[in-house]
Amino acid sequence: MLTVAIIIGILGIGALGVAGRRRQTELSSWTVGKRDLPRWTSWFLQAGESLTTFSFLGLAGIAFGGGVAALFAVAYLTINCVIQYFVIPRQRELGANRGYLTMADFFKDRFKSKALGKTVALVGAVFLIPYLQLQITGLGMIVQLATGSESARGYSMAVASVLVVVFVIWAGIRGLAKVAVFKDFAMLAALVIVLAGVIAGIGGIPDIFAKIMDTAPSYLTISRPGFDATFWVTSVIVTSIGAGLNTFPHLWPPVLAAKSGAVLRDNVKWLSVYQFLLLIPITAGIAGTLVLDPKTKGNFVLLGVAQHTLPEPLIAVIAIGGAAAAMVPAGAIAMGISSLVSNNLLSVKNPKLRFRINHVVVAVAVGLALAFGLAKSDIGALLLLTYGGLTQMAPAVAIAIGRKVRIGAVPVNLGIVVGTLCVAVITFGNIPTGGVDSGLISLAPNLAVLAIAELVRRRRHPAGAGTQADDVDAPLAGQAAVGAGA
Amino acid sequence: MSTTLASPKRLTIASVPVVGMIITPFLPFVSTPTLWLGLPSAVVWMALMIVATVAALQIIERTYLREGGAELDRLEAEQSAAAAAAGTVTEAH
Repeated sequence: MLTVAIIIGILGIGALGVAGRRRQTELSSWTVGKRDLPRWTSWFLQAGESLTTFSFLGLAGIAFGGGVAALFAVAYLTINCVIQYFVIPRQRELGANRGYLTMADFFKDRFKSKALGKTVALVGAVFLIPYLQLQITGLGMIVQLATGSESARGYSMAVASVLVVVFVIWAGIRGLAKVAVFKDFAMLAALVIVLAGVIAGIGGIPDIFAKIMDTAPSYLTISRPGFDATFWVTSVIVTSIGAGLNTFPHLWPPVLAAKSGAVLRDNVKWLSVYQFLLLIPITAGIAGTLVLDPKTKGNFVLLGVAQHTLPEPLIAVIAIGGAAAAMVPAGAIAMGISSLVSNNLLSVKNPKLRFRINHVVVAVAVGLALAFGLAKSDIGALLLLTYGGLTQMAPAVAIAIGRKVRIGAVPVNLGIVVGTLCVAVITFGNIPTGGVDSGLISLAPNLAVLAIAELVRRRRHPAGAGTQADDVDAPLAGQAAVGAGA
Repeated sequence: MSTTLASPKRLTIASVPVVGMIITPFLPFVSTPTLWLGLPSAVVWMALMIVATVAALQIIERTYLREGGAELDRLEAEQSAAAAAAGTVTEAH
């Protein structure tokens, strides 16, 4: 019964994505609409990253092992709002003036380099696949934990993947926005239910923390093994830089589609209040130490606590909220991958053919992620590269949002490649870093290579060492088109 | 007075809650197990930092609008409206 209710919920989410929307017929309107998304539509799209399967599964698990150190997610998501307040209105302005559809368009245009555009598109598309798999696997895990059925896991992953492909292809960013509204309300309901379950089943919040204070006070400090001050500072800094400078390609369409910079500023100046919701899974994770087996795997903690404290119908509500939390980011990531491939990686001049290829890429990307998920393939190590690797584009973003771009494309490209390789070597070579985030460490060689290569470039071409791109105040949207096809 | 959004003054205001969050593990009331109002002091501190972030960004927005940002927003809105009226949905070719 529970399985049926959850599958119906997932079908409903998919139906919401296509309902009342005409099929999109061109890549630009599919990706960024008419660049006129109003405040609340932008709000729910921008909020997408605050509440994902990580909020359901990962955060409670970290709190179960690391106590209040799990608040690092609250810290970086809040700092992200501060940085984005200054950064994304500028990215939107450039996008509207110059016709960007993707993050790679931004790099290609600002550094006047097709090669850099392709590098960014390739790195972005490859690193987003594990992130897409994480969402789909997370959805399956939520359903399996809620129902106790292994087959329900597979069915739900397959059904949700097909629905994501359908509503993303059909309605593009506007369909995604509609589901995002539902997702936020569903997650709010789910988290409030979890909190009610914790209070009813384990005890009042002050009582829970008083017991923790008596039995395991280290959960109330940022000092548990693997979750110490070094972890906190480096993780918060590197993730804030990466997210704040918008280095995740799938987060660009909501920015480029917004009606104005003022809309984006209005949203981010309030969006940090979302982080209050994250205190619920953190509390549930710490409370879980009182009722769950200490050997419980991190991802099982939140739903383990819910099953310990709540009746079956409410578990279904939580599972549907979790499914929505997976499907919206999955849709955004699939859009991000497909637009990078069809618009930047492949040189397709025919717009109709390009749009068809885009649809194929959506299906292939989601299909790949589903296949990895069903086969339980461990591409989790690649996910470690996702955050650290994409953050290597942060220096380039910071350079490119300036009024004039004075650094060459080759130095920037070399810096990104070296930084990304460095993250890979540290991750796969299991090189001990003393708790310092590999993405942060890799920014050092990234910046060093960038600086040296830029010096060499200026010595070799003193006359051409000036501006790559001037500010682009003049052209209005539609008059300048740099975004692609090549 | 500055119409540059990321002016030194505004960046300084924004950095207050940012620094407050980064140094959290080193605060004396976080490095020792402490409860405030029945909650871990770290949780209360982070809640305060969220409120401080919202407040800082509100202050920054007000100063920006007062010092010329409102006029820039109006011009941007006019540009967007003109582009929409002309039916220019940008597509990159």
